[in-house]
Amino acid sequence: MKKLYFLVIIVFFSVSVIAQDSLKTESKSFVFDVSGGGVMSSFQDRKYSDLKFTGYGANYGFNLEWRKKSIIGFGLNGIYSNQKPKNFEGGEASINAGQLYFKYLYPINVSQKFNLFVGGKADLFDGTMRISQGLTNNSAYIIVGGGLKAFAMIEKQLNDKWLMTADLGFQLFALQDEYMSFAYMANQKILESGEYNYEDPTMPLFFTPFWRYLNIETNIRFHYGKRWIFSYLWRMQQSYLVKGYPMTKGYSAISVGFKIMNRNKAVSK
Amino acid sequence: MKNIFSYAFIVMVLFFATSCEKIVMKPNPEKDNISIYNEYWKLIDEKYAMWKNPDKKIDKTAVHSYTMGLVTQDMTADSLFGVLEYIVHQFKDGHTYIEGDDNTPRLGFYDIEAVGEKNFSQDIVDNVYLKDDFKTIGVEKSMKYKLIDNGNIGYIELRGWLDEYTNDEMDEVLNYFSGTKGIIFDVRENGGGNPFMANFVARRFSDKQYFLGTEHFKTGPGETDFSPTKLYNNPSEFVQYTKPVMVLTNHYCFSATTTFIYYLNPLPNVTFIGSRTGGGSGSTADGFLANGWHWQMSTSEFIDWEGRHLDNGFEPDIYQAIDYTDITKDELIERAIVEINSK
Repeated sequence: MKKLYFLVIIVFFSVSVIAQDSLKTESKSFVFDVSGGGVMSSFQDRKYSDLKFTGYGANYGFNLEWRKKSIIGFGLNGIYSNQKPKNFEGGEASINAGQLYFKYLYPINVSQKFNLFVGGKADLFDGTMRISQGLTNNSAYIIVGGGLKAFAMIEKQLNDKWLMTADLGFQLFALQDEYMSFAYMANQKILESGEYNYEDPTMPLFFTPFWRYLNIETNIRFHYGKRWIFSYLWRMQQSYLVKGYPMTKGYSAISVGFKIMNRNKAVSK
Repeated sequence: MKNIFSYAFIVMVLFFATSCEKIVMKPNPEKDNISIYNEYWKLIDEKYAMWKNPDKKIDKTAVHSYTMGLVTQDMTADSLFGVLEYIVHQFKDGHTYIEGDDNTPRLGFYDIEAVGEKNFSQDIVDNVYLKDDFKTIGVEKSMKYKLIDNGNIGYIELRGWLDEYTNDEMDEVLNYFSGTKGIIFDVRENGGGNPFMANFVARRFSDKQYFLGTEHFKTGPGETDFSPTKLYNNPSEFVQYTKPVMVLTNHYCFSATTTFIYYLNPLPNVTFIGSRTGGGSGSTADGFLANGWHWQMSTSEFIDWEGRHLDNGFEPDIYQAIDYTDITKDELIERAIVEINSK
């Protein structure tokens, strides 16, 4: 885990050094794309077991992006995946996760061939529902809420046809509700506070800093021509509701996107 | 300089992109006999909430040392299951069980139906009291209700908490009984279900807020890692019934029915008639062992407003047995009628 923190710090340090360069060009564009593909997911909740659950499923995405000098993006992405343990037959689960996001990226370096942006990405809604077959009270693991990520994106023109973008997001904090707790289907903080109420099982959102809930995402996209996008996304979350008993989940998604709208206009300064 | 950092950034991103969350996950657990035993013992050691319940009289150290000594790597899965089942039986807790897989199709549990008094005949209730002219509410029509004793008393039968009722439906029932002198709420053989529905119904019978007791949730692995949560019965804002309520109990009143009982117990208008209940006061958690066996256990303990541990059962205010030789009446219902009419 310390390795992950270290690498993230290095990345953002790198970005700040690159920021010494001044802007050279800017472009103006609007893109709306839809995407779909496959996903490989995994899950482990050490509060209950060291069993790893893995499986395959599908992903989808709808993304809007406006670009003038900065980039403003808005979209919805989600996955559905089945999971099962390697150790035995049975124990199947399904996981649904989705994010509704808004992002703002400011250009640090813009040139004809290489662009760098940094900014933030707000997950206006970030939810995961994992349903396990064969369990009773522990059948649902739920995380709902939203969060703010520090976000950086590079863009490199590989040749006339291909453009590559790669981005990295690191969640700074979240406002969210998460359960299972250590031993009951309720929020750990609610139980610890002694405020659990059977008469009102709705849960408030809690401020959750990154050291309690690590949330990282990377995405590499190869844009071909004016319409197509080939993308690889990796997203990982690890929560520490109880010290020494983390829950870890993540997925890798490969998808193909199609730019339904792509209005692009380059402007030289 | 710019290029160096730019490409460093690309390399970092690629590293993350080609990495995966499995790096930070623990390896899959072993599933040999000793590993399975140790895994189960760690779970109950850290999560089971009633090791110190005075009614259960469990010697944790003795159970551990005895069972640990029974486990060998070459014993059969069936024998290993027997060891875990032995541990389960020490808790005398219907919520705590171990369930095998296809290769070991066994269920190790504490059978609450095998202890206590049944005190119940559905045939008598159906033939003498409900007959064919009762009303129902719920998606599954599970709550049956009817006026008895010449319309003086309302009778409600509920054998489970798996159905859902709306506020409108509960209003319908209680408005129907508005002219009665009291209600008999028959929850015999009600083995539980959704505790939220149990308190949803129980809140219709209180005139003010009542302190019920404290539920001690296990919130960490240590012996003292409990979070006490005070529970209250807050009156519903919809139709309330605060005239006498007689709750009929037997040995199979369990789990969410115990929730229903402890939600009603402090209320001065409520009397319990019948025999000792099956208990099951704790909330539960469940999961899989590394070999696929399914476990469930109590991970909280409820201690009521008078300091009683209810997990091993609840004694009614009035003990009443049924006479199975007389199929013309149910002695518990008849006793409840007498009690209501005497108030």
